[in-house]
Amino acid sequence: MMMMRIALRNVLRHRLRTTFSVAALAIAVALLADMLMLSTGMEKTFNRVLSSVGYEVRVCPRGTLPFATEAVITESARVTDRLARDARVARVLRVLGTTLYADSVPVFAMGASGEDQSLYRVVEGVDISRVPVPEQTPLVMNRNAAAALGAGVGDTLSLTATPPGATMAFSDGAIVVVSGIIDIAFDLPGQRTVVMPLDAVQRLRPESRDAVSFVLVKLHAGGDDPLAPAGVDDQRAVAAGIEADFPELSAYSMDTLMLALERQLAYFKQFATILSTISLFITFLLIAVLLAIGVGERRGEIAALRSMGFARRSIQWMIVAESVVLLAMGAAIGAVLGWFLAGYLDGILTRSPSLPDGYRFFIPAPREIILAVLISGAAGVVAALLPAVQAARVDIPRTLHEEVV
Amino acid sequence: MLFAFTIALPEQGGRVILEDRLASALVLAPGDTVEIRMTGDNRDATAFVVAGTHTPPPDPAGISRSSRTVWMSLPDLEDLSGRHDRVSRFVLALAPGANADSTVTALNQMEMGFRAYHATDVAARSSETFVVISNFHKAISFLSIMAGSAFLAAIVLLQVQELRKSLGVLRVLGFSRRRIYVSVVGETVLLANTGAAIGVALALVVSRGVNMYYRRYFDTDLVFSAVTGMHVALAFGIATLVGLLVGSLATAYLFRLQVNEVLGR
Repeated sequence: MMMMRIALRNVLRHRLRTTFSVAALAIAVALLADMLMLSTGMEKTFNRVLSSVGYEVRVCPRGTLPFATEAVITESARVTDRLARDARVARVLRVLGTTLYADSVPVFAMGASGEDQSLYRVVEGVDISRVPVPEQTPLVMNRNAAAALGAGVGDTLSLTATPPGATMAFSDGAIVVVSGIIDIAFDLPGQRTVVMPLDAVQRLRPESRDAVSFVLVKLHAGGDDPLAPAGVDDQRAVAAGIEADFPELSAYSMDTLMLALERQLAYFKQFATILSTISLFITFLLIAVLLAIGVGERRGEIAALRSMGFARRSIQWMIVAESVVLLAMGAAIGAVLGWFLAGYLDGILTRSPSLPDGYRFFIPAPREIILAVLISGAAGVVAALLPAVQAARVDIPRTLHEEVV
Repeated sequence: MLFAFTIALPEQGGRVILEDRLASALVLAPGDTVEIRMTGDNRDATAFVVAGTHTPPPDPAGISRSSRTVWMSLPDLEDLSGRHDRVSRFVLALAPGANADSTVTALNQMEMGFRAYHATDVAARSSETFVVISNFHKAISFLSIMAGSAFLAAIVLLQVQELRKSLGVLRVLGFSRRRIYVSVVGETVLLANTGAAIGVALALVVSRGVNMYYRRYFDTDLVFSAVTGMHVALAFGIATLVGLLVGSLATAYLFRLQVNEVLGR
């Protein structure tokens, strides 16, 4: 405890130097914390979006991800029939995505077929599946589409597969009535999204009438929460079964889909790893250099302490304690800096186009801050060991003689 | 990924041009036959003759795309996909002297459900992501410079404190403050520039490593990292500026002390 007090006094004796040292350490700790947040932030976002959708298995055309290409599953009824025979499957949602036109305004249309969907949330009006005996095809739309089309619940729209006004654009259209306004977790910023019954969208598509973009599968979880995910083993087994029966399809469990999505953003993970290592190296170097020069500067003082009866071990503790004091101050400021810096850096990256609303690269979290402080602390203590050993080996008579003379 | 082309081939139909990496992966050469079907389609595949291979220009926008490209005639793609009279985009080459901007405006005034863009607008839109990443890198660079500056300031102050007796003796001997200032600042500028030189050397090595790694990782010829003359000038410029500031701060701190205090009396 006494050595800690001496260490604190030593550190505070040179306020200007300590200020700069703490500033450098704070930035290093903040960067490390932010890079830890970056490496886990994307994973947390993917996990949140995938979990919020409420389906564990996704079946897509082989080698593609949902909505990544225009490829479709041509005979989707075969897939749903196969899934219906699987006792682990609770419900299935078939989705077909395409571009439709309301007058000359293009909208992203999704045809959905399935019970108790959890793909989107109705915030006004009712879902397409809840419209009692619809006279016209029901449609729900997000707020962007409602604003762009100037439409609200109860309004009627005319949708076509090709834009009107073109001489070559004579195609069947559909008259639809807006039954609700929705929120979708993975909407792109500004995207105008509408959802209609699958058969209505398929009628507007010139190709196969049974085509879908992907199939979402909800498995029985066995708990009270209907959205709780089923076990990973069940997810993988169902996905593997689909791929075995349909070689032209890819089926993803939650973990394999996460891997596929993360691979697309591998750059950021690797960037985070490299910068974390550099931050740690800066912390190590800073502590090692500062303490090594400090020990050289205070050889006389250390020799005097030794001559007064302080043991080598006590001197070593004093040097290590100085490192701990510097790191504690740097960590306190670095934690706050890292927290706010994460928001700033996230703001820069989320300006990127084609990112879904709510996508986050950095998610400020105490866990990453604590981890950064602990790792930096460990690096700092290791860096202090060599100067501490040097300090303990000071030749007392010779040093005292040199200092006095 | 399939792309269609409408250029006239000697024998129209049933011929494809493969991206060289795809041809290499499938061990295919011109004259070979390949069976193709749409992704997710369980119908029988259609046989095509490989007419040739091509190397697409490096495209940063498609870096995370793992799919490869096949070019075929538009009618062949229409038959294969079942989608007739539909195209993803038109690319127009204007006649000499035609004004691109007025053509784009005229096309957009037609309101036929498409949007026309000038080639430079397309380039700007597709590079938006890279502008964002560049801004992110700049923010990280600024933090690195701040950390490096604080690191340098702490070391210089340590050094000045270590040398304060020598500097005190110089002041007693009559050395002017100006000479001492030049000496200390010269040392910090030299120290900072030595750090910059080592940093630039390290950057050259790391840049080489980054390019090697990511070219292999993404299977591309893109340049991911480049240390340019401007970067080198910036590194030495910042180092000189930081050295000047930190040296000035250290000498100001030194000059605030009395000579006796400096000499430890």
